[in-house]
Amino acid sequence: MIFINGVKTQIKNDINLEKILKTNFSDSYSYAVAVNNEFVPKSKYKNTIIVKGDIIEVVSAHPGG
Amino acid sequence: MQIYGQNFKTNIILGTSGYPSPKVLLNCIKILKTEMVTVSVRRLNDADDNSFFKLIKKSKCTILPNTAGCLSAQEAIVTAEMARELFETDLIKLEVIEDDLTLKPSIKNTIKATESLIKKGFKVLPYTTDDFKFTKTLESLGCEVIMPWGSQIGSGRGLENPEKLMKIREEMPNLTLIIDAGIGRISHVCQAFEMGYDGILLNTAISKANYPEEFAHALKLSLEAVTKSISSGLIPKRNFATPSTTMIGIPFKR
Repeated sequence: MIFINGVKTQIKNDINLEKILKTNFSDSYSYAVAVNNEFVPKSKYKNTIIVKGDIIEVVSAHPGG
Repeated sequence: MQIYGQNFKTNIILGTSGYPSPKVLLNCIKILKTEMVTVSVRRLNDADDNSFFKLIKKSKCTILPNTAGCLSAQEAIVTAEMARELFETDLIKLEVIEDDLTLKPSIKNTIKATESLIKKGFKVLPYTTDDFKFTKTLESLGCEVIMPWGSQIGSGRGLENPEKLMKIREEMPNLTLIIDAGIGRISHVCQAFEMGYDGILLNTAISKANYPEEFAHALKLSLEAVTKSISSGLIPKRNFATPSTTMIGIPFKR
């Protein structure tokens, strides 16, 4: 089990971050990602392997003050 | 107003949260001719359709991402890194708060995060209290812009400690100083500029006014008025009365 934006998600095997993101989010979104409280730049999505217990945060632009 | 070498004609940074509609936000940006807006990053959810991102890009404003709500230096650092990639900017409005109740900036964690972010090449605009030592430390770390609070975020209480804010201004004349938080009325804005502050960041005062566009109009007029009055050369404050009418020729004197 992993967490994507706080939601429990099942994975069968280790999987790369790029596949997780493609499965869960549309390409038309602009977003940035952190795994286990560390920023992961876009260039490293493919080589970042997600294993059970990992915590993924996917953020986008929101209003703020 | 100068922010890390970039000149801005307007000295208002606008928060983008809590407006009745996106159209009202855009209208306020237009009325004020705002050149910089602050935005946050939050979890992407099913309701997101990228429309806010598109709206902000359409406004052509410089984007100042923030780390609102971060409670630790590490959270703020990671949030800043995500924001840098998302908005393609090194600018970051650094907010690291002590708690969710007062939203008071954490001195220890703000300094820790600032040190790290500057090393990573960020242009940090830290949100601070009116504590002089706190701001002095941030300046020594390399911050070219510092944003002390007037009072608590969203409180509308204005500049609660003007003497402390004045000391910061007087002791750091070359720094860009922006009042961030606490603004509720036009008079608070004027007071800050009369004290020599370079800019104001405001959100709630305008977005939660019954008629935000009316407030934006009033703010625009007040900015013109206060700028003209300052350039006219304000009289110095004196501790004693000084008669405006000449004492020469006063009748009934012996």
